[in-house]
Order: sequence, then C-alpha cells, then structure tokens
Amino acid sequence: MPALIALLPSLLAALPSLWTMIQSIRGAAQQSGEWTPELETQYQNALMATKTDPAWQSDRK
Amino acid sequence: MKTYLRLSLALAVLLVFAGCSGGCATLQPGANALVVRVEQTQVIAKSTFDLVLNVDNSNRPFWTTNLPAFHGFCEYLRAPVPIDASNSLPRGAAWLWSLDQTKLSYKSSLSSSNALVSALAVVETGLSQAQLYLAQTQPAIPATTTSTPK
Repeated sequence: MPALIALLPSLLAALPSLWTMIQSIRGAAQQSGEWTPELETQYQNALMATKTDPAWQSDRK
Repeated sequence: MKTYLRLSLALAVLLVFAGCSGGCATLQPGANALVVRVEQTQVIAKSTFDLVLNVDNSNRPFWTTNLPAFHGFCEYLRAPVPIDASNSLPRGAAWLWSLDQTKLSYKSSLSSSNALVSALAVVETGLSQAQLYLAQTQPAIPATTTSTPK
C-alpha cells in the first residue's frame, strides 16, 4: 500500500499526458492535408519549449 | 487492490474508446502522402515523449529504483543535443526538430525523399522504444504494490 501511495502522483500526473496522446493519435488519424504555416510554427515552438519544460530536464540540472 | 486495478483498466479502456472514436480521414487531392505521414508521426511522437517524460518526472526516485531501464531511457531522451551552431534541444525534441527541418527541405525540393525517410526512421525507432518502455511501467506497478506476502 505505501508503494501504491507513492505511485499515485505518477498516475495522476500521467492522466493529462495520456489524454493528450490519445487526442494526438485521433487528430493524426483525421489529418487529411499538410500543415498550414501556423501549425508548423506552433509545432516548432512546442519543440523549443522543451528546453524549459521541467519534465524534459535531465537529473543533472 | 484488485478493485483499484480493475478501475484503472476500465478508465484506460474508456479513454482509448473516447479518444479513438472518429475514424481515419482520406487525403485531400494534392497532399503529399509522405509529408502527411511525417506530420502524423511528429505529433504522435511528441505527445508520446511528453507522456513518458511526465510519468518519469512525477516521481523520478521511484522509477530510478523500481524500473531503472525506464528512467535511463528518459534520461537518454533528455540529454541535450546540438541542433545548430548555437542551440541545443533534448535528444527526443532534437530528433523531431531534425525530422521537421528535413521535411521542410523536402517540401522545398532541397532534399530527397530518402533523407526524409531516414529521418522518419530515426523518430519511429525512438517512438517504438518509448512505447515499449511505457508498457514496461505497467508490470512495475503490481510488482511493487503486491510485494508483501499474504
């Protein structure tokens, strides 16, 4: 039981990311054309944002 | 404990049904199938890496202790990699950045489809690894929660 309690934050934290992943799979399946320049810029900005996202930071930092 | 696991399973099934209902779309005339495939992979890979890294980030000591290979893969994704002379990104994002730049070069007829397919293969390999490691986190949960003898 203590291990389960320790794991609860992981499970709760994963839910929004899991939902985002499912939505992205759904969106990808429904994609019928190439991205617009706006979507391209939005995607590149999301990649650049990983530099400051805590989840993407290494243990050493 | 069994009730908890059943509830978790039911929630996961519900999320998958809710998210995946809708079907696939057909390509618009003139759309490049390879480019669309690359863009679909870009989106799915980004959200998968986000999920893997967020799970690990929520309790890094737990995963380091109970599933070191999973945490090691997350650290591999996080390692900074240069993307040009002055910028670097975490490896997972750098793969996606490289694929995006190759796609843009391909669309401008500056690179061949071979280069794009190669960049796509790199991301797909990382994506399948991430999915494998993510699947490994599920057995880790009952293994650690049922370690006490009954």
